[in-house]
Amino acid sequence: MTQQEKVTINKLPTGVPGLDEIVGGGLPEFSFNIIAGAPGSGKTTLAHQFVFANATPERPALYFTVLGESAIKMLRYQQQYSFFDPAKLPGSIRFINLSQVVLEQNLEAVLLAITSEVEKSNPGVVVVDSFRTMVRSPHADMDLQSFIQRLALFLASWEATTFLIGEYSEEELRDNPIFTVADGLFWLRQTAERNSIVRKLQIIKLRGQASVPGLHTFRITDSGVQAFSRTFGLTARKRHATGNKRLCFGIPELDRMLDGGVREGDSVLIAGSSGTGKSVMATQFISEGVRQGEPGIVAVFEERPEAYAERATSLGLDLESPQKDGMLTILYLRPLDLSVDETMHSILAAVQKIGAKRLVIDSLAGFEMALSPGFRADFRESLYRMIFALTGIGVTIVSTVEVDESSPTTSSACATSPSTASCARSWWSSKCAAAITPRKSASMRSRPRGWWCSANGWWTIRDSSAAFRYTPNAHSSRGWHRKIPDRSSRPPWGREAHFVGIRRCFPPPAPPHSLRYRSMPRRQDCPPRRAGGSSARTPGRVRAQSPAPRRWPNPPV
Amino acid sequence: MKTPMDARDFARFLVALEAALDPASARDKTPVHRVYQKLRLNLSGIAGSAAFRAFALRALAQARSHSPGLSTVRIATSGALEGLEPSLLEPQLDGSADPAAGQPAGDDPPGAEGISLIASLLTLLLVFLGEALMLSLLRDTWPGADFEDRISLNWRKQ
Repeated sequence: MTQQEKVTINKLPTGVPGLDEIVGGGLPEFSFNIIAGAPGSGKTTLAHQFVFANATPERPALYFTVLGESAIKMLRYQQQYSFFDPAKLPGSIRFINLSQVVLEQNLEAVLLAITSEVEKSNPGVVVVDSFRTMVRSPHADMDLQSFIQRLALFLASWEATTFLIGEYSEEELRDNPIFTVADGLFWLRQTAERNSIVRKLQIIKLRGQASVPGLHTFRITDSGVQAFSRTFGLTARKRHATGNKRLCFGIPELDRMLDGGVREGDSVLIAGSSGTGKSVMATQFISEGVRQGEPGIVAVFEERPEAYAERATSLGLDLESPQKDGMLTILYLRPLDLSVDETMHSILAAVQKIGAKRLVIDSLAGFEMALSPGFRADFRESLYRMIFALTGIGVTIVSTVEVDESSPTTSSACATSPSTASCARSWWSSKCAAAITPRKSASMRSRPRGWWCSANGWWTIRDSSAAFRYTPNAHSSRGWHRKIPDRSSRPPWGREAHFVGIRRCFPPPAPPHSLRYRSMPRRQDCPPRRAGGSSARTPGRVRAQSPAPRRWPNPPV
Repeated sequence: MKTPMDARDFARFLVALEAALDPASARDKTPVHRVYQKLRLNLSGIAGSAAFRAFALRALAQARSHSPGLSTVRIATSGALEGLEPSLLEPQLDGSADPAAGQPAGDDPPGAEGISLIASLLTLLLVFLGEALMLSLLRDTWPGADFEDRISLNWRKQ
């Protein structure tokens, strides 16, 4: 069959932010759908959003209420949502109560009442809320499946897109003949996880087009139901082509070690124990970006944006002006029942609003704590999806994570929760470009810990001339700023940062014993490479380092 | 911008509107009765007759506190009014504010009972549905009528 011969199935907007993406662009016209879920899961609100988005005076929506919530109270509550437009009632949206028919007659009479109203109004949308209560009517002598079958046939013939709303439990999903009739089956779940509520939506079936599989987070706000697709709404977007552009930290020695900075579209994790300056380094990254005309986003979870900006000011970094100029957004995300998908939605909205090129997540541990407990189990997988999506649109990410250096063992090395630690390991194995570990160690000779190193391509840089530190005085004025010129003059309380390793997914990493410093396009704004000295690196020059013995354990899987 | 009305004035406005729309049927049913019937049919269709009856019972109870003459009135299962005395439903339609509003029971002018019942019903609708939705429903019941800016914000205090 050629393309011209295929019937075109129009897609109707669902009226639910994020749901169009999940259902594959919109709801198929004339489809017969069931919205199922437990009481309070948002079924009626979702149906209302669809109704208000599609009802017109020419093709109105008929909303049949049966037994259950009083229509007056339903209208009273539903009008609190921003999508509710009273002007559409009753011209475009008509509420019709069938409780009398259900109570006093039978399903045959209910079917007759519905068909009669449909023939009178020629609706484009029909909702029956809740059809499940009809079955429990004492006069429900007609088989429900037969009723649904006839109703579906009739409404499809009248070119109406239909929603039946019903309370169902998970156990009823199997072997239920009602669901075979439906073209679309929307399942809303609501579970309590410790002290928070987790709402998830699943499109169990949708005939005629491909929907995004899996469970999608959704939230009910003043705007109604808002769904967060697992694909973050980026399925239709092409991945950003990354070039060789480098994004500087604004820390000369570090940028030099990184061949000019972090490659655009990479993600970097700054790991270290508390107080080592992880946030300072991340702040410098974002500040340097602003200085170079690259808008940035900072997602903070452990302090307010004002406090974050004030701390930057104490370091001589101005984050106030860029916010006013639209070059910087500091997102504070800490409602304690977030989902990664919601966080991603907020970050993506901010990225698109200011055209951000740099993103700082400070910190992963705070991020994890801000999540609802039910989402923490999926943190690793969710974070991977988030990083993949963000780097895919060209955003370069720097995240911080707190690790406890006091323990030499892999399993206890992380001060964060096991899932954050797991995430960090996942980060390395999947998307990581570099790891930077600021350390409090007084000795440069101490070998960088190998917690994050795996056997498939990690190496270390232990060149003391490439190390840098900051002193408390310098910290208060300029942050991370310079290399250690003379090891003997290094005070014992100095803090050091070891550039632990660098690995790329593409191309595959070079073997550890042949660390390559590839040439980078020299940029005016980036720090010049050092010339001369034992550790001098010339652009384009390949410098080999002796293979480092792998004494540290591989991260646990 | 029109002068905002309180509930009784608005009820009087609806009754006058109904009387003007269909004066021929005045012999069979009073305008107050017709206003009530139109509201009943509209709301019963939306919320069901049981829901409307519950509203009507509440409105009647409230109206009785102002108008003891309504003590003989009953609400049928269908929501229809029963036990009406025509004299209770013939209000003064001169457009002036109801002088009996807020005064002790027994001082109502003739026909004020019907107005009081309609006003109570409208007040309940305003409380439950809000101004915008209530006006939408009234516009559907009385197409072409101009209801804009007629509702006073102090309805709920009555």
